[in-house]
Amino acid sequence: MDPDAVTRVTLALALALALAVLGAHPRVREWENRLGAPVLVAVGLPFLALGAIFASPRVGVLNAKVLEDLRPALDFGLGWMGFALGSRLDARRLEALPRALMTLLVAQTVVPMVLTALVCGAALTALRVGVADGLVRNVLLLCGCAAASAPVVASRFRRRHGGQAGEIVEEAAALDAIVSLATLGAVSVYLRPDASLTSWTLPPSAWLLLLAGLGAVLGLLAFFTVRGARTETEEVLLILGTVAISAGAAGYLALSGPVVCAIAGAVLANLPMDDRPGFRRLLGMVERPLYLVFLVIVGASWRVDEPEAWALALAFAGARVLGKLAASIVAAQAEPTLPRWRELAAISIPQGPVAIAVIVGAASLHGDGAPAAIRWATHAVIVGAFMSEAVARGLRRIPVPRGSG
Amino acid sequence: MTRSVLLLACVVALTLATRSFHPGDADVTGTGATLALGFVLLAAFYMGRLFHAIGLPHLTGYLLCGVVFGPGVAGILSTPMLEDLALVKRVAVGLIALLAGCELNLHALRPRIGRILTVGGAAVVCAVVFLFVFFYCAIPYVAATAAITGFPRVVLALMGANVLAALSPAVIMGILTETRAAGPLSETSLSIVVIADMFIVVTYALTGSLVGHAFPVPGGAAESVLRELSLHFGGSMAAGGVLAAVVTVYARRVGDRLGVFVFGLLFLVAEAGHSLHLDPLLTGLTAGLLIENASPLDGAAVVRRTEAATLPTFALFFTVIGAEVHLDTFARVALLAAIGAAARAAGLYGGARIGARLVGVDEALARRIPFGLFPQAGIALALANLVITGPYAWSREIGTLILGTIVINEMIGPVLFRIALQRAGEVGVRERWGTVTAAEDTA
Repeated sequence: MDPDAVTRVTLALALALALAVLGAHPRVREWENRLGAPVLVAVGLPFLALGAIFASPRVGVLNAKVLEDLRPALDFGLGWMGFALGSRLDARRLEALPRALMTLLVAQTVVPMVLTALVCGAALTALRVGVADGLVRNVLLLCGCAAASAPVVASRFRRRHGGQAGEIVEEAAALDAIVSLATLGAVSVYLRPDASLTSWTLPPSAWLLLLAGLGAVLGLLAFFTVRGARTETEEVLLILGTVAISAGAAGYLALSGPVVCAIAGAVLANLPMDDRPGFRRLLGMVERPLYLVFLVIVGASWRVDEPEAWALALAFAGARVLGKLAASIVAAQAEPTLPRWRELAAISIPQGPVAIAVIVGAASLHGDGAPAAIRWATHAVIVGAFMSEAVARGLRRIPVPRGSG
Repeated sequence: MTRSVLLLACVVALTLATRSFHPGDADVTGTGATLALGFVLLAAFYMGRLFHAIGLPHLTGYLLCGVVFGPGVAGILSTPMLEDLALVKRVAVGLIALLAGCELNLHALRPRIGRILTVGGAAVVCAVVFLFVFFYCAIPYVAATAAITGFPRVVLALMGANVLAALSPAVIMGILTETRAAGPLSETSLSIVVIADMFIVVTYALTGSLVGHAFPVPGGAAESVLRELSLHFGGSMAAGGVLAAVVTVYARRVGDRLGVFVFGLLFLVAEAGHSLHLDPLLTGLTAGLLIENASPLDGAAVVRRTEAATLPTFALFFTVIGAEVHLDTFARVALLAAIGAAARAAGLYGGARIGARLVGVDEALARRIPFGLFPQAGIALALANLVITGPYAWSREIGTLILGTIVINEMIGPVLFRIALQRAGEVGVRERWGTVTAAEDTA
């Protein structure tokens, strides 16, 4: 590497680190909580922009070689996010929640997904993405991203209003993320990118069983390892090791790392544990810095100069917002115990961080050769997060007439 | 113990099964490193527990884990996987060195610094003399150096002695952390190895330069070795200064998740420093020393708040070090290497005892200090790697001999030091750090 490049890389990495520090500052987090905005909207943009700037040929910091070097970090980060998400899936807690949760969840996922499938399917077809180019796969991925709501907004609602309605809304936002991951899992099983990635040729149903089985086995492994930890330091090592081996094993089988890790996390969370809150705290400890660094890597493959990407972004954001609005109306009418539809819409429209993880996880299944349509989809999901937030804020500002729903 | 064996077997079986899916020509860039990272962490952890159960240090378990599962024996960890883990290894070296530096309070050491320098100095000088004699006698028995005589033979022996005199702050820190040891032996051993290794790195710049003169190669590298190593030394220390300043500012202004921040900084130092030819060991050591001695921060607090990262770091670092040992290569030089290890041990033991007698160190302590000097790992391996990849006809064979000697010291040294700590009654004295860390780090 020539001296100029070395200086550039050093300064760029230092800048990224400085920004990560800023993003982790308690005051920034306090501001973010007060704002009630998802992390991508609140503090994520500088990281995305940084990634995009670093990847530009003039700066050349995040070039193909560096991105290849960072691939293990990306795989691990995705795995960690999946594991953390899965570990929030506590069956005992879900069983204790009322029927209204199921109504809300079904409405908040199915309606936006169907609408996104229709609109984005049409948009991609208009952009000349055929079935052979992965039309079905990309539509499914965008559907999965459309389902995800921002848990931070739902948590803010629960803190402010409390009660069962608050709990239901918060739980539904967490489960939306699981639906998103499930979509990614389905894509990695039924629409596998390349049969030559593994030495086994199996029908999709066998890959599905393999995905579930691998996740469950890794979950059991996590259970037996983590419960043997004598100190918190040992617990950190064992969680790190389990997530890395899960993400790595999934990669070897060309399955989705975040999905396998989420299954492992869910299995672990539903087995008896001595210190469940401590375990969750440990998982959360590095989740935020990982996500911020992850955004820099996402930013590196973010292309803002493609008109097709902007067209798809408009289609995705529009369909998702309309879908969430319609779902809120349907759910509020069907279940009187839920908040009013405007409140529901303002909570469910902001897009959750898992959407980016899903789309990047899908891109990573292709190794270095992700097709253009996935690049456009990534752009659509990033832009969609900002557009959704704008709509949600607009909704919150409209005064609600007394007695109206 | 049964539980550890079963879980280790599960991890091995799962990794082997996973790897069987992989067609030879398919690209698993990144994934291989992620799998290797998980495997190393889990396998090393259980191997360490097994060793602990039979009264041996965890660290020896980590090393043996690397040897057994590395490319030389079972092959679960392939060479490309180890190459992919190189960055993580550099981060680990930086963290270990930073922690070692944070443990050294020069103000508290001042009353004992004369004793430390005398004992350490005498040990290293004696070891260099013994090793010089060993190399001088061994050179005719190594095929590639059999014909070397006169001044070049002296220089070659001196360079070999210099490399093998290196001690190991990483191993000492690893053993002290794992045993929670504290006391005069722990403190004296750590102080000696840190100071001695800085001295070894500086002197290697000189002996490396002498080798350049004695064995000229086309391109005239003779003069540049000294300059390059001086720049490397100065640059690494300067980077350490910057690192200390940044950590101090962060701890005072932000404070939240200091452990994660320090780890991130060391990642930056490892990535950028590799391109700038900075030594993560020197950088981390300088930073740690400055944090403890020249900043308003308490080094012990920094150690406490990065403690969550230490166990994974040690496990990863020492397993990768073990995996880099090629048993077939070692077998070829085993006899000479064993003689070399014995010469080094004799030199260190004799020198330390002489030094201790000169400054009147308590007999019980004097008897045990040499055991803290036997282990070798990071810096010695780095220097051996410089030798082995050198441009000379003898580079590979002399480098292999040096490496073989280090392998013996890295396997036996930690065991002996742990026994010495147990006999000195220093094991388990230090308060456990872990429980405070996560609470402090998670806001």
